[in-house]
Amino acid sequence: MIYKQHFDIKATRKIKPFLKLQNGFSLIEVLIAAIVLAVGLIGVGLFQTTILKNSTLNKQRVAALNFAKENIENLQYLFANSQHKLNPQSGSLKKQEQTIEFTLNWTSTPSDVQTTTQLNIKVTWPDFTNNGQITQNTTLYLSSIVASNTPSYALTQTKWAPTPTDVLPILKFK
Amino acid sequence: MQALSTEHHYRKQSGIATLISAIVLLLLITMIVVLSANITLMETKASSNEYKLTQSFLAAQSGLAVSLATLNKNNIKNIPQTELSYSENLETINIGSYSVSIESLNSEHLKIQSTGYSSDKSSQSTHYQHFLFSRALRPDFRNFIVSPIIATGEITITPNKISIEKTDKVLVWSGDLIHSRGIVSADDFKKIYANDIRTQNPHQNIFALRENNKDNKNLKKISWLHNCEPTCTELNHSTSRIIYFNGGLKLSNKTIGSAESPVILYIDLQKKGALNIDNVTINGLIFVNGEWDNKNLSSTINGAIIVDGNLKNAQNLVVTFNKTILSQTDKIGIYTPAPGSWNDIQTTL
Repeated sequence: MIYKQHFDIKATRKIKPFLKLQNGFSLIEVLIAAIVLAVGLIGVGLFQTTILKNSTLNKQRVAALNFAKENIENLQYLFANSQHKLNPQSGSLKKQEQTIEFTLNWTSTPSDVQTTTQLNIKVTWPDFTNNGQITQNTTLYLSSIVASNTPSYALTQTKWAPTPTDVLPILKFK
Repeated sequence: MQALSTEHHYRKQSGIATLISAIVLLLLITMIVVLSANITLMETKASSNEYKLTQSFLAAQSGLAVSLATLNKNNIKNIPQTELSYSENLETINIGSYSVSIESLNSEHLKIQSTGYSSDKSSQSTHYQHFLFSRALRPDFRNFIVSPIIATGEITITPNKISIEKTDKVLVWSGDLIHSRGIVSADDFKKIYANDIRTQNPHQNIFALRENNKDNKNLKKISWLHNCEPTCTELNHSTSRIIYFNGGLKLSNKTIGSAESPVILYIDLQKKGALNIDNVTINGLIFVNGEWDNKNLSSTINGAIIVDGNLKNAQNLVVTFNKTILSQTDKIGIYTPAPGSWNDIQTTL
């Protein structure tokens, strides 16, 4: 019976025109396929949206980190090469990159005992996936301690430590 | 009937084919999305790693800075006798932590190793650096003989108040031969212009350890010394370090430093202020950047004076050149990084 049916199918294929075979889709079949495809595409689309959001957030994080690194280096230089400041200081900077505005807040906490200063940097930017609010995802912290009045810098500025070879050749004691 | 049945079967077959096509299409799209998700995930990991690595790097640097500041706190050679190690969190908010070990390689050579950790300790960065003890601001008294007074400008002083041991070869150089040894005469000290020791013929009698005047600008940025303004309460007989005064300094009725533990005072008068010491005994070296007008006040200096400028109205200053005291300043100095010794030996995530 199965063999016969198979034979019949083959025979019918030969006989019936190709287009007639296409007419075999029923509405229900197409609907099921369409629903499956639609559900899948919605899932994929949602996933893709999340991916895009994360990708954008990554770019923003990298930009924020670069902003923070650049400025912590400036602050390190500033605090290492100036007199030790006994009072805490603070400041803020803004940077526009494409459509995002990054805000950098820095504070300096001096340690009187060791003539060191701790620099804390906080960079924030609006999280557009969360109604433009600043969230944990859009906040970045860096911290560094610098020794105020770094000696290495000062030593390059003074010539008052001549080496023996600088002076010895001209010394002729009687 | 059979044909109908077959046709019905075809319909079934083609329906499944549509579904399969849809699923295959969906799978393809899913694969593309998963691939892009993978890329995004890698981007996330990369940015997160960079963030944590920056935190640990800064923490390790902080460890080195804190160790150096602790060692240089008093400007006195302070080599740990045994290996020293400690660890601390970065203060205020926990953005990292560091642990430090200090190893003394010889009496003037340290190696400090600092390991920094990110806030969640997932990233670690280790650095080490060598530090050498440096005697800045003065000649090395082990190798040089200096004079009781060195000035780049005019000196107004009473020479018979300047005592020098007869055995010393004290050299103060100016354009002319002034004296060979011993107490310098009044006429000789009226005007001494100690200029560039290299460009003129030093006659071995007066020696100013001074570089060319055009290098004076190099003195103005020395700012690493301990600044005791405005109270200066720590100036007493037990003070033994380099102390920096940015601006004026007025002292009276004090003894600063001792023969065993002398002091180096650096007074910067280039921008503001005046230096007046009245009835003060200073054991050590006074280094003045600018004009020093002491208004004929009386004081005693056991050591030496270096003035980058004029020394005026200093007739009542008693200067006892004392090499023993000056040699004690040898232990005053700071640790400075040995050039090229910074090393990032290990960074892990």
